[in-house]
Amino acid sequence: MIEFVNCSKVYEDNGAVGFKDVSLRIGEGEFVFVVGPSGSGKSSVIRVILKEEELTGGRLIIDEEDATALGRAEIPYLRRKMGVVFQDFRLRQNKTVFENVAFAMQIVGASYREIRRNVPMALTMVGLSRKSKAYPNQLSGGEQQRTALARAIVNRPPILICDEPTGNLDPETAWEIMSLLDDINRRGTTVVVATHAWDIVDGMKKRVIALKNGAVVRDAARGGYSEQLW
Amino acid sequence: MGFNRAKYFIEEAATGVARNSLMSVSSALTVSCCMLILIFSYSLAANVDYFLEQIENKSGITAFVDDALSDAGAERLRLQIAAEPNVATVTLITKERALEIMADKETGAAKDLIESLRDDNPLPRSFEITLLNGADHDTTLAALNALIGKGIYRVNADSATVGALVLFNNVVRVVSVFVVLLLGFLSVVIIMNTIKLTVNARKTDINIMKYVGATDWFIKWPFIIEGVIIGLFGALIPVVIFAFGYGPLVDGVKSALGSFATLLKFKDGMDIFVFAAPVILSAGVIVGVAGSSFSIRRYLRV
Ligand SMILES: Nc1ncnc2c1ncn2[C@@H]1O[C@H](COP(=O)(O)OP(=O)(O)O)[C@@H](O)[C@H]1O
Ligand SMILES: [Mg+2]
Repeated sequence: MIEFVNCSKVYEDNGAVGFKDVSLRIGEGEFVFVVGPSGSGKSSVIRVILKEEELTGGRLIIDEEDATALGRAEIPYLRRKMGVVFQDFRLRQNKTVFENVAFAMQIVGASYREIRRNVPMALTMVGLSRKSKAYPNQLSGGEQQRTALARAIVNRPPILICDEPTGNLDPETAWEIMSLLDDINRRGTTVVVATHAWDIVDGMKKRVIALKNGAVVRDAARGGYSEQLW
Repeated sequence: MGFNRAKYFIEEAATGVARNSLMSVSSALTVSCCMLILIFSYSLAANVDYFLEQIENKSGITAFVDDALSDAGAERLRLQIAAEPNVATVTLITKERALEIMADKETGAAKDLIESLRDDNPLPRSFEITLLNGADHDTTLAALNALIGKGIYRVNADSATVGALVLFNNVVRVVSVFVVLLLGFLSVVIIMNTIKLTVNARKTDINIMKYVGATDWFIKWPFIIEGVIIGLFGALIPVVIFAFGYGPLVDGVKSALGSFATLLKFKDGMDIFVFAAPVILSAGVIVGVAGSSFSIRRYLRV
């Protein structure tokens, strides 16, 4: 589903290395944690997948298509194959929960009927159906992240990308969000989660790709966060 | 663009206008001022053009015919002058008619004196010549002057007045073009600033939209519509003011000019309106699109 071939990212402005010579393959339907200490390159990997940043070397393949060098006009269509969830939720503050989720459908030109049907379904799935008229500032952090999650999955994209999705949440809420991600994965969506929440990673027993100083130092099929390899 | 999208874009645009209502209203009003100056300077130019047309028609050239020339010779000469490229009409004024015209202008003793000349009429025959184009006045005049001694003994023309009017008309035209360009540019800048404010307030929003996979155009449309709303409202106000204000303005100018105004006809408001209203309204739309496009461009690079 996602393949990095000898990829590297060096930031032009300060010469910082995001990651270097990373090769990895994430198959369809997998659930993958990308872990590592702060500054190890997790977000750089995520931003390259989202085409927010360009690779400085190597090849990137997403959904069997070469995504290394896409034109500006093609990027939105690539992004529609991926739902995204961030640490800071990124909700539109002057839109209700319903409108925030519906927005993802509006941009792909969904009909009013489809929106009426699929948005409540997505909200039910994340357990937020009773808050659809609320605005983001009336919600708890967990509820905001559920809204973001509903927005990410409402178009049923094949891939779900999360960068520190539980970074702003208390442990209990963090677990609820993780179990939602697990549910989504069980329905067939490929899920990639960058995180440094070691307890969650240890508890989930998923594939773990560990980064350190921008290099892959471990890739374990049913790993934990802190195995003694690094 | 499906109905749902159009609805979404318009709602977003309306929200943008409403959220920045003070700024939106003030920039619409500033655009109105620009467009108001535009539409009235166009009216001025149109009227000057129209006056010129009237004056050109009235200020023909008079060529006086030698008494020695026979009537048949005079008719040949008339046809020759009529064949000149810029000549519209050539009318022969007979001695009798010339006397009548002169007598009509006078009263009392002077009138009687002129009437008494009827039997021994000293007035010459003349040709009254009207032109197709006042600006080419000088060429025609030269052609007529060449006939002096060949049946014509004098040519009278008010060439200084006509020349001055043509010059004035050209100045008005150049100034109007300049005014149009300057005010058009100003309107674009004003709308740019307003939309920039809205775009700035929604920077995070735009960022989110891009992550969710919105195309640049999807993001741009609401801002463009917002610009169009401001531009169109800005243009609508002066068009309405013109529709109701032109008549009274002309009346005011007429009464200020006094008896001189009776010599000139002003352009009908409707004539100007049918041309200027669509132009001003489309200018509002164009200015709105240009202003918002310029201001949003750099925010789309995510
Ligand atoms: N936008 C950026 N511009 C310049 N350097 C960056 C940028 N983002 C990250 N970096 C650098 O790249 C390295 C990896 O950072 P990042 O990918 O954010 O790691 P993590 O998400 O694991 O904390 C760090 O040294 C960081 O300073
Ligand atoms: Mg990070």
